[in-house]
Amino acid sequence: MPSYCQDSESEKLFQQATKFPKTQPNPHIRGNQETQNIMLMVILALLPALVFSGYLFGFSVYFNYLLAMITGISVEFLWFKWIKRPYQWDYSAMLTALLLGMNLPPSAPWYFPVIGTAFAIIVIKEFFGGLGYNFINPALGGRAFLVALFYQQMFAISWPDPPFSKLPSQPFDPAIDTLSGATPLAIMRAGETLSSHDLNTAFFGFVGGRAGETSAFLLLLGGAFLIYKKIISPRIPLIILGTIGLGAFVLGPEGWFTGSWQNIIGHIISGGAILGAFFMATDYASTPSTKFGENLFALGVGILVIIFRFFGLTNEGVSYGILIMNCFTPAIDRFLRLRVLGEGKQSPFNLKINV
Amino acid sequence: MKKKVTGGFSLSPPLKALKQKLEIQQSQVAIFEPNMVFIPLSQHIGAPAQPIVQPGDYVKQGQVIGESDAFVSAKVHASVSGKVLDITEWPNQNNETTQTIVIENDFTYDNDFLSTPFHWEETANDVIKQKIQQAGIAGKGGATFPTHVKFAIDETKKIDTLVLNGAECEPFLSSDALLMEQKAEQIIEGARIARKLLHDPVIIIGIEDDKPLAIAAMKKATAPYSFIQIEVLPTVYPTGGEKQLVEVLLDREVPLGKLTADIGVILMNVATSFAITEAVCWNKPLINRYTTVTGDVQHPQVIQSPIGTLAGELIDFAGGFQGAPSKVILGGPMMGRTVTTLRVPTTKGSNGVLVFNEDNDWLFTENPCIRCNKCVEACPMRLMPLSIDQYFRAGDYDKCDELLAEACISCGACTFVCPARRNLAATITDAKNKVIALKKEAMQHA
Ligand code: SF4
Ligand code: SF4
Repeated sequence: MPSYCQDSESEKLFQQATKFPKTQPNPHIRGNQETQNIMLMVILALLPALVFSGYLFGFSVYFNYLLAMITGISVEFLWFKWIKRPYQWDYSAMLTALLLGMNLPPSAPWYFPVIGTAFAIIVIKEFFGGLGYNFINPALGGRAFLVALFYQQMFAISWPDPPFSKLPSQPFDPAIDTLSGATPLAIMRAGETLSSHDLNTAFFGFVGGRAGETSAFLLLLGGAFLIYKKIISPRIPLIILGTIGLGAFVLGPEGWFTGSWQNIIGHIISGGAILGAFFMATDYASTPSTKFGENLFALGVGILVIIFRFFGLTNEGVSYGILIMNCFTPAIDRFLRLRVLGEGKQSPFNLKINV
Repeated sequence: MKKKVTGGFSLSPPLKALKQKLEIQQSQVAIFEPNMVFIPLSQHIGAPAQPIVQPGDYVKQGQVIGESDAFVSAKVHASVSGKVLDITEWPNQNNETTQTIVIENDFTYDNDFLSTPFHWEETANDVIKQKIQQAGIAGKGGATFPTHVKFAIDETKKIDTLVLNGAECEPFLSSDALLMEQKAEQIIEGARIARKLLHDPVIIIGIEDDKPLAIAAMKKATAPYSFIQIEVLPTVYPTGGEKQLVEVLLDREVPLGKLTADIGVILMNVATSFAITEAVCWNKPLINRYTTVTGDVQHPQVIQSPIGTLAGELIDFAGGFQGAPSKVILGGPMMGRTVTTLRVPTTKGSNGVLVFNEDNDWLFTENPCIRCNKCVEACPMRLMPLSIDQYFRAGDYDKCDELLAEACISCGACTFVCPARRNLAATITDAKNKVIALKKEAMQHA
């Protein structure tokens, strides 16, 4: 400091400051969304449907959720120990575990959630580089693995018998019948029309199906919450459900364009379409990075669901539709990217095809 | 408004708390007169000036004390009258040092400014341009480009629109808004002078909708002129960016690597416009600045002070720190730079001093990207920050180039929205610099 001047008071204090990040890149303020909050919100949005599934199918499904969560968190913890990285607690393993649990049949024995979650977390998520790098939805990947191992049990359909009525005689032996009533999809496949009573029970969830997918109503509530919180955009679910509805209309029971409104609603609210559209096709990591890419992805899922439901062997479709489109995500991202401001001519959809 | 804003983030409602903390409601500008000013000889893009005074000389306020022969260079003036104490290496806002002239303020403000306004309407353009160059005006936005260079565009480029930027580039800085409220007429006059130099383009003024007082004042001042149009813009950061403003107001895109003049548009900040009036009508060079001092200081406010005032003294004037300081930023919260010493003086481009204390210094650890696409939606240049970030960290500079990392304007919007708290703007700016450096190298070898 030259002799003719003195430092200001503030400069003296500033130089004494101990917690001093010398330089910091811009920007210096941040928004208020954080990974953990996002994951927690999604879990919160699932909660009503989760709780309700126990009411429908009995306490044993709660055991499965619990087992899935314990497995998910512990295998992830062990994995981080093993690769010697500090463990980051972000609820994402918990979310994967819950989604997997919701995609199991209520009659699933205790080792289903354990095997499925372990596979989802270790193989699908961590092998590919951890959070954000999994190219397919981990919960659906885990489910697909279970289907490959236990085909028959995975497709068993249980019929709800509330409230909480089917207490298991012992924790690990769920006494749930794999009673088969005809689900709305099965009714429609047989060419019959759904009564409004059928639609009602299906909408509120009193139908057979996988543990967490039956109540369209509660899942829609959760989905609306996520949209309100700006965690997911309504585009993906609306396009998927819209495409399914349109498909149901076009491929109606009496030939082309004869789908009744009952058919359309029936297809939209059944077979896990709501759960898939709002909670699994919106998974961040396994969907494309641009809005246009996301729309394309959603359209693909919708079309695949229709193909599976109308021309496939089973009424399954939502989870495989999503899984297949997940595999196209890297390609969509690679070939279609946003046209940068000022980069050449405007092309359709404001996209630049980049080969 | 011609087009919806692409990208960027809106400040309400997620930032209510921040707003409360940083935003300044003020109708009067406080004036601060320092004992000494430290005037850097390099304040903007272009060649540094050489001193033309000696220690011991007496200088008047507004006297030229540094100049350069290079065209892209602005003259440097004494901002107060008094004795030149020293010419020395002094810290600057890039955390380096520059040659700086120290002047002791004698508080007489002895100057040669005009006492009656100069009539520019009938004057030849060359004379006016001369005056602007003489006054050393540099753009007051982030780029601080010497203004006379903008008007020196060759005659083949037809300029059809002059855009006056009243959208504060940074959230929470209110210097420009206050200037519009108080000096609307001078701002408009400057715009009219610029219009004459550019052969009568239309003038569009863009102001964000959270500044109703400024809009009202400007509307009043523009009423007599049919060729001036005021557009009210939504308050979305970074609408004040050059390319964004041109897109929103005119629905034109500035091609990558080109200037706005190439598509017939000249942009000027309202503060620059004000400075032009001062220079042309009153022979008064750019010597004072409105600077917003806010954050964790006792009395956040907009302060008018001569260029060359030390950041530390401005903070003292604002009542000093609140709590123990952690970082001090020159400029705004989105694009400003942290400094390591408060001996840094203000320059022609200084618009804010922002203080964060230990309790809220906004430091985060980075988490893995969850591919939520929020950064893609926020990027005003429509880049894909998540991918550029990933490729840059993996050392794949070809891919960074393919994704046009060079187009990044370092606005910080991507980092702001990222829930994984990744320092995207920082890595993408690095990627951009790396790509530019590699291309240069390749050119030299070719
Ligand atoms: S905002 Fe962050 S977490 Fe989201 S995609 Fe971009 S880099 Fe990844
Ligand atoms: S800093 Fe660059 S990449 Fe990030 S939003 Fe701004 S322009 Fe886009």
